[in-house]
Amino acid sequence: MTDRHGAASARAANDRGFGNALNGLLRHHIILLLIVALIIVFSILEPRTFPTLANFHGIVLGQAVSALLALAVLLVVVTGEFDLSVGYILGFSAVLGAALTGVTGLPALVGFGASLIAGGVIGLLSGTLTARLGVNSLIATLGVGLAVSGLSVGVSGGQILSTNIPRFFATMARTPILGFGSAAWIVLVIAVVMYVVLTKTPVGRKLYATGGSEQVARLVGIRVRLLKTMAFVIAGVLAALAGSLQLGLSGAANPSFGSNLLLPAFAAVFLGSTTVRPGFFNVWGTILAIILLAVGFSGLSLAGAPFWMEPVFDGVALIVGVLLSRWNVISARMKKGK
Amino acid sequence: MVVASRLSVRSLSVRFGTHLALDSLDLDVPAGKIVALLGANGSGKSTTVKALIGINPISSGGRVSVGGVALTSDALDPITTRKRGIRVVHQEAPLIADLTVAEAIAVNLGFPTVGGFIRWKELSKTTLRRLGEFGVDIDPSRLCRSLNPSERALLSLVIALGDIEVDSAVLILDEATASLSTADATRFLDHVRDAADRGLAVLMVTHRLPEVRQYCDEMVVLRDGVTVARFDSESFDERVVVHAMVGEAAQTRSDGHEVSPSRSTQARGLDIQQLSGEVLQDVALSVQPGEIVGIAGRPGGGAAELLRALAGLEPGARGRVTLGEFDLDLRSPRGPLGQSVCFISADRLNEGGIAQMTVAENLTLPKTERYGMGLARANRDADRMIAQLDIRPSAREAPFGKLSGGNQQKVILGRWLLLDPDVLLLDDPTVGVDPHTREVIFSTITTLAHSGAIILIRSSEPEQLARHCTRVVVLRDGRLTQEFIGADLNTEKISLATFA
Repeated sequence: MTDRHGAASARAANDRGFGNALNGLLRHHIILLLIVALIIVFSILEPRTFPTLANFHGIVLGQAVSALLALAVLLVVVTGEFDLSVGYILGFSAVLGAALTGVTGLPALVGFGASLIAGGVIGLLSGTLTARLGVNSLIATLGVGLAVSGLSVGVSGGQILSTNIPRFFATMARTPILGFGSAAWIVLVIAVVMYVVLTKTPVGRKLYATGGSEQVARLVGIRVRLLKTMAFVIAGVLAALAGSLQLGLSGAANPSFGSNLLLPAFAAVFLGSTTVRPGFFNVWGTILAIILLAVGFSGLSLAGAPFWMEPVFDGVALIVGVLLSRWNVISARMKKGK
Repeated sequence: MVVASRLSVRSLSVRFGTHLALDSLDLDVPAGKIVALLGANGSGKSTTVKALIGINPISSGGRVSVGGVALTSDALDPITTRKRGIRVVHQEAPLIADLTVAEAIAVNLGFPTVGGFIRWKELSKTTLRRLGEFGVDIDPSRLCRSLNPSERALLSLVIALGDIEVDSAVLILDEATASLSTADATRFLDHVRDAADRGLAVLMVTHRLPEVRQYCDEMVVLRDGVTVARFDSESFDERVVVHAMVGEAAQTRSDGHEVSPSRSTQARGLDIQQLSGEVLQDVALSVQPGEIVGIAGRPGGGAAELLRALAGLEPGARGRVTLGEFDLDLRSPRGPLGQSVCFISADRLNEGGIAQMTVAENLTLPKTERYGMGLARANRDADRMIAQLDIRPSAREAPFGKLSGGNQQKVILGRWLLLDPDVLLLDDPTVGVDPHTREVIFSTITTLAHSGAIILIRSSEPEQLARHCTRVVVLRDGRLTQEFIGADLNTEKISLATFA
């Protein structure tokens, strides 16, 4: 949290001098700069496959689920807590939707609705444990997440469910609108709504205040516990929606799928907090970070990198991004060292 | 033969920028004596202690010697002063909560080891011996978190004196008894007196004059960094000491004592009945609209606790508090806030503002929903407060955490002014703020009171209470014991009630 404060204060300092222009650029637009740089590099390296509309559409649709999960992570992180269970909720939601419709034969909307409600209920459990009962959110959501991962295996019987999945899920996720799959549009709408709520409304200011200092937030009359619980519930619903989109995109529900997305989602949220409004976890920073990671990996894989390079690239990008956004601090320290 | 003092200080000055915090202090602490360093807040006591252990840099010309050996200003650093035998016991003993008593001592004084491994039996034996030397009866295997304040203080004393010879060392007590009850303080100081009788030189900073009378051999009084009086145990007189501490000018009362409720038609009185809590005992107090009531008393005596209870921050508080015909729900800050009862905490770091949010965001944080989505009105309100309270820098987008303490306090004050409070509770609002901010705070609350608001204020500066309050009540051991009004309302009376 000290880092957030430092970033905000340095931003004010940087607004003053031209001499700090480089620092200012690095600080505000580092992710955008990196995306542009990567696009240029890969366009030169792979001119026939990388800078194509098809590749662009693919990248966007392929990242819709990751981006939505990152937004779920973001909402809770803004309030100063962590939700490790969202990845498992994603997997559970996909499996539940597939099992209720494909196996049990319930109508698609019932399966979809049930998985969203399940996500909300799991979020409510995490929120209650954290905000009402005072359990550390890392521990509470780790426990909840582990339990949910077990339930996913239980519901699916350990199988990948791919039979009799209603067309509804695919329609929801894959219908092309202006060339992009509908899942991307759904995520974009959610991102816009979250951006407006977080930055333009009283609720958003209260959420950031709660994350900034819970005690001060209490003192000014903010319902800290209610807000935190709400954040967990909505994060659960968003993660469940991400699960349903995943089911629609791939046509199958893999009980172990969501957990692979959890750490990249966190990485995107932290990387995103170094840009747009540095020092604050923010929506467009998170989305830009997701795009950066996707562009980077897409280019690498077109250039022949193996699939295991993706998490390696994600991890390295997170660290490099954070280092660059702290460049003025680091360079000052190195000068002092000499 | 002239025996040099164990600790000898000559022309010690400390300068912060242009501000002379300590002005040519001369001080002698002979072996076997306890010398008290007295003064109001900001008088230079802590500055002196920090200079002596090498934290505050001293101005040239100052000389400090320990046991006849001079320490140059370069050598006045925490490591060297420690080597020379200077030890400090602070008010809040820095003990690691998860260590046992034996481990806490050994972390400071060394573990007995064999081949790199700790000899636990030996450790427990030496711990018992060390504690026994001071007649302290604490089980070495207890965790530090389980110790009460008295045991913590005694353990700190054992650690401070554990690796020095009493007949060559200097012990500094930096308000070490401030959080102890009178009985516990006596027990603690008996141990210190005993060490002094064996040859230790002791310099003691305290606010409690009775213990000074009982234990100290000499007293030095500071005011605004200047040594204003010296006493010995013969000439010591609490009234004269307090007089010296607060000075001549502040003795006289001035304006602001008339109650003039101008919005009396709607203004509501505050009525507190049988308010009890962890500290508070059956407190009853009635305050009329337009009054500025000072809450005085020793730390831990209930003054701060009363304000926090009224703000909904003492969840254990029971009793009946009404504002007009409304009962205040004291279980959380939302209850009092709903009735326009606002609170400014003494703990600005944790209960002030949100460091990474902007000045404007902090100013408009309470009931922020009244601004809705449009930020134009919020920004207008923020600009109004920045101008009215002279908040600097006058930039509403500046991060709150980058402001000076005084300007942070103005933002916190402005945050409540925007709500037009019926009751404003201020817990030591001038701690660590500059004189300009102090002026702003007091002129603001005076104006508020004139318009019919109720002000309850605790302050570590008695002269401020005397100057601005319509009356002052004193809490001691959780009870309301005294009330000063009219001719009785002066700095000296308040200081005596607070410090003596």
